[in-house]
Amino acid sequence: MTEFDLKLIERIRTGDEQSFTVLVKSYTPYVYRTVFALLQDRSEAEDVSQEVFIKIYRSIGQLGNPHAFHSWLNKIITHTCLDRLKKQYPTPIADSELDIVSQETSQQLDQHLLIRDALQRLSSEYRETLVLREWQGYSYEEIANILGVPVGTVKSRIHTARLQLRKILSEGEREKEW
Amino acid sequence: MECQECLERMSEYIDGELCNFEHAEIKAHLISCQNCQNVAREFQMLQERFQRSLENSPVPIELEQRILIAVEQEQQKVSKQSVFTLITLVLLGSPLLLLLPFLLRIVHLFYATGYAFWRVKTVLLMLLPTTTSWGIGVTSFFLSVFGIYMIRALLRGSRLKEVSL
Repeated sequence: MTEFDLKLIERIRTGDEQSFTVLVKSYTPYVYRTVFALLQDRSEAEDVSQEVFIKIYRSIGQLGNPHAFHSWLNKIITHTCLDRLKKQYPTPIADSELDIVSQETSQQLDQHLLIRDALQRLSSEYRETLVLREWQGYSYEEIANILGVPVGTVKSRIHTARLQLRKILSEGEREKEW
Repeated sequence: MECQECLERMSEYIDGELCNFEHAEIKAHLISCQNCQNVAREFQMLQERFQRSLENSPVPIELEQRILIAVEQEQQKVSKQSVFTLITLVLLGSPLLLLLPFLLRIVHLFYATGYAFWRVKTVLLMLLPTTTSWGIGVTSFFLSVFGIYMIRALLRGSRLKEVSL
């Protein structure tokens, strides 16, 4: 966390509205990308990003240590997204079903679009676990706590997600070569 | 170590989730096995591609503005709520102020009754023999404890506790 960020948080905590605008401008890309990675829906990602900033605005006064801002922000993003996902999928999906990967043909897109497309094809359980690990940098134990599942499940989800991602990407690349 | 075991633990290895011994075991296997080494490299590349892809994903131009408008609306809502709370407090406080003399009268009545009881008890204790005084004192103590216990038991069953939580 940079010195600028720390000062910014301090100023926001003293009630400086202008500093909150600066925070919104600096963190919107990160918040949106994380939310989009978890939800894979642009319009939902926009709504949830907005919700995340409102939550920050309401509760930044309760943040004890400004150095913990990043992990606090990540917690807000993750929990808001998981709540949204729970509303989308009220019934739990059996692990056997999670192994099914969409067989649709990959579009002829560039590398970034290809990986985004591949991510979209993963089931929400695999995707959220992988995003928490790869993008937000949580440890397996932290992910287990966030998702409320055993560490063993996190291990297998991450590993299977990577295998599926690798498979989808290689299929997509093969189709692209044709 | 077998390739199968190494491949199964590859993600944990890449993520640094293994203990030193297991990490060293897989590292040693990777040196000797080209196939597993390729998988490890592919997983690492996948991580990099994943991160790069997210870093490059476009952010809607108007989103920042939308968020700022929403925050501004939230600020207005908060200030409106503060005014509303203040008005509510005044409205609730006014009847309380009007009732204050009456409430004070009741408090005074309780105090006067308690004081009268205290006086009676003191006089009685002075008049009665020591054993009887002790008996009354101990009985009063136990009755008080029992009374407190009963009040707690009554409150536990009521909605009062739910509100306080």
